[in-house]
Amino acid sequence: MSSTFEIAEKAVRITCNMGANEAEAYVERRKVLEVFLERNDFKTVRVKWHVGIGVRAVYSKRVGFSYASSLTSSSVEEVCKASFKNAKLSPELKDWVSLPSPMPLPRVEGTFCNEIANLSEFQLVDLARRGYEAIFEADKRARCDDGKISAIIEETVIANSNGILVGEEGTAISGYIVCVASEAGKTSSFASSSGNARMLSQFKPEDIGREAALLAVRSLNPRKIGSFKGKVLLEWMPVTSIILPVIGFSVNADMVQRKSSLWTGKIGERVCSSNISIVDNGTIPGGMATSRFDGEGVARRITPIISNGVLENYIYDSYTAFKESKESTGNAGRASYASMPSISFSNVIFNEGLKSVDELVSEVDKGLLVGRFSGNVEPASGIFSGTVKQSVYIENGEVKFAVEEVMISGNVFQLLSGNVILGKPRRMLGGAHVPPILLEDVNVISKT
Amino acid sequence: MFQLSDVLSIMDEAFKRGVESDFTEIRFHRRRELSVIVRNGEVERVGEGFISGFCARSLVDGVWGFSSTTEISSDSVKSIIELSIKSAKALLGRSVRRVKLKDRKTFRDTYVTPMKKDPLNVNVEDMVRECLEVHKFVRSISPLITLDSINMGIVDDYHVYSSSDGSFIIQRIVRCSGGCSVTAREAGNIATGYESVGAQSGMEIFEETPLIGAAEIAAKRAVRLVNAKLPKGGYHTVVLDKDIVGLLAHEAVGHTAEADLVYSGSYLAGKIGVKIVSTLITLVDDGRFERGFGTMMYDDEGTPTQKTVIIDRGVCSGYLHSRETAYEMGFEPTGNARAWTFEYDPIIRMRNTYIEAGDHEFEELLEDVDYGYLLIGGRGGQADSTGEFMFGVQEAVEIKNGELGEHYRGVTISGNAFEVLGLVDAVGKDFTLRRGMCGKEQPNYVGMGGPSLRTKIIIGGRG
Repeated sequence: MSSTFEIAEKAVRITCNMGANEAEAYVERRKVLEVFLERNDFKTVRVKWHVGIGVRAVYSKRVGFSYASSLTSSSVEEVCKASFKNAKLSPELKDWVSLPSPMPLPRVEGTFCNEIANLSEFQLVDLARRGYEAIFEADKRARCDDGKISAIIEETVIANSNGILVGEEGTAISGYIVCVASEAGKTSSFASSSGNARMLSQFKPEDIGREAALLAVRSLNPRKIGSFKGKVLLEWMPVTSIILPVIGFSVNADMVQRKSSLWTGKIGERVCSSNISIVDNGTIPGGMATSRFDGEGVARRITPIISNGVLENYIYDSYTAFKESKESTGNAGRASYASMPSISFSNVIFNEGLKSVDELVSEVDKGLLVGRFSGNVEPASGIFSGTVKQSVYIENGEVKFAVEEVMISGNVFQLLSGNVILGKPRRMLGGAHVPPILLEDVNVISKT
Repeated sequence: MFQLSDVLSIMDEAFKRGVESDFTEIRFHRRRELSVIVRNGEVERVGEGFISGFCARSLVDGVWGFSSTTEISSDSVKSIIELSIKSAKALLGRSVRRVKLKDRKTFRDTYVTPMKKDPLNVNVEDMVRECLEVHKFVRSISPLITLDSINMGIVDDYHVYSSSDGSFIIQRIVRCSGGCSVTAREAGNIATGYESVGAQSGMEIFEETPLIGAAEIAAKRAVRLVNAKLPKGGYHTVVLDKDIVGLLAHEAVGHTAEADLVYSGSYLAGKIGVKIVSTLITLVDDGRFERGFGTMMYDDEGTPTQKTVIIDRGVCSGYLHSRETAYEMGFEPTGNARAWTFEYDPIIRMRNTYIEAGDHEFEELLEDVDYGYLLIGGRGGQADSTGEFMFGVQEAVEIKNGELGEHYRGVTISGNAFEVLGLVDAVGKDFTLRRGMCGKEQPNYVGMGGPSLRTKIIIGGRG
């Protein structure tokens, strides 16, 4: 059988031989081992083998794409043919310059773990057991609705007609657990917790089970509160669901070039509170999004996004960078071989504040501590509104009780420009490294 | 090239060797996708591709194991059957529950989506041209439009199911869909409108419900709302349009009828035979709704699908089951076990979930409202197993003394679905089933719909 490198190079060669000016092949081999929990029990163990290839063909500034979950010679040829055909069908991208060229790649650490690569079904079941048992050790009122622990070993190779030929192997382990809690015939809302790591030694299934259980219990016996405008302390998960999408959209060079971003033309300007600093770092040791190269084979690097409230950089892939005669920031993300590259953060790291959640709570006269947000965020306008879950009412610096049927709304741009306090610790949720964040002047809306 | 006959002979062979499990099923799945995305008149993507593979699921002493592969060969099928059995054994002694499956008939059958224009040999160039035309049309509506994204897609699925007890079912399900997202901008204000078309159908759906019609709705909405204010937040009398009723039926009620969630103590647990909402409400999950996005003749356990009534005139009357939960709870399987691809084992999912139409004209729904809002256009949402939900709506129109007035920006609405459906005092004659996606450990295609109806709800607005 051909090596992954050979297959990628061959696909590039075939596509160019058909008449393409440029070609790129992205080849993936993956093994996933999963334990799935359902209805408070272990449901199944899954072993999945997956291979695939995605080919981009460029013809007279026209780009076509095709993919297949097969690396046989005939499938590879079919994919090359389809991508070239699709390129010819696509109208010209007048700003197209070229695919990227080879460059030195950084060394990265903590992205491959032999123990994960060699994990047996039995060992994975044992990790799931540790997460599962932690639920009941934390609180007997909680039980597991569903959950999953997945171990992945993956090889990725990218070749293009400009001479890029790069590959790497990586491992990851991730898990989530969803709990509900019951007391006196009443059931809480779903509460979930997740965790992930590139190295087995850093993966703590107990923490996932315990946190999911405690969050579910925290939302028991909710009470209604009145509407007000005031302080809202977002825990880690709602920071990633409310604030991150808006910043991600606003610094995406594609959105900037299309003038859809409200931060278009604002490099060097103050865009939010001086308490906020954010860096995109694709090379941090052990980061979930850490790799030597991005989805186009461009070197991952460190890009300051916001420093003390001042906008420093947008994030680019090759297409948007070459449009401005710049270098890509190595932010071409790729969900899998079946998707084309698109701009996204690698590891996005917020600065950490000085105070813990408890300390921040103690400074709030009246407000809400939000564990989960379930709602809509318009990344372009920054407007968000939605229901809060696992959230508790704060009065005179103390957590009082869980709330029910409460929504929050506001505008992320306005809130981040107001009085913002970042807390600690910072937690890693996928590629996002975020602290809890205290915001002022958030609308808290209730039925009563 | 893909040859279905190769797959069929591999699957035919598989059980001839015998299996060392109590029950094993093998599924083959090939999904061919074709998509065109045009953003601001630039073709962002003309893509096509496929994924295909086999999976095996085995039951050993009441414990499931699962394995999948993208390699299409007799050897790989043999190997995933062995791995599925090995995986099940890894859970023996850990899993408390001993799964038993409700008996069902075995079938040898074939189903193909009824269609007039098979997209097998579709001309991609025509799709690109149509998207570009829709883009031009959108831009002609207003100079305030700064961003538009038009997409068309075809998903062509082959499912082959074979079980150690003798079922052999081939299904080809074709889904065609399109969508338009339009953003208008003026003086720092931004508004977005979204509208979609699509069905389980051939390409004829794009003639019957043209994409340009959806684009017009999306574009006019974005322009109308760009300088619109947010409505007043709070608890209001509302008329919910068909899309939002569909979301409510699916997200907030349907999930609570999924037997796995019933087991976890969802709102509907223990409520069979109990009146839970207004007698004006009948809510069903229908596996065979004509052209429904979630329609199929058999689920991914080989169980024939059916129309399952969840709420019959206000009374809870049934749950959605797999073979496993049907056995455990003493019901019949309803054909709701579905898997997203060959990389997933089937779990309980909805198919086409809707509230049945009532007898009011739309105007009659508005007539008796002194003050309230008409809420239009869904924008996604989530709900809890308690029935508590949160949905985005695209637009709110003020109702004063039965008349429609000012248009407001989209907001989020929330409440408890059973309370909201309990307060329904009028249900419209109008009805639409739309396409949708649902996420629950794995995604899946679903249909959701209903008529317009009148009730009370919390609107998240300017507070």
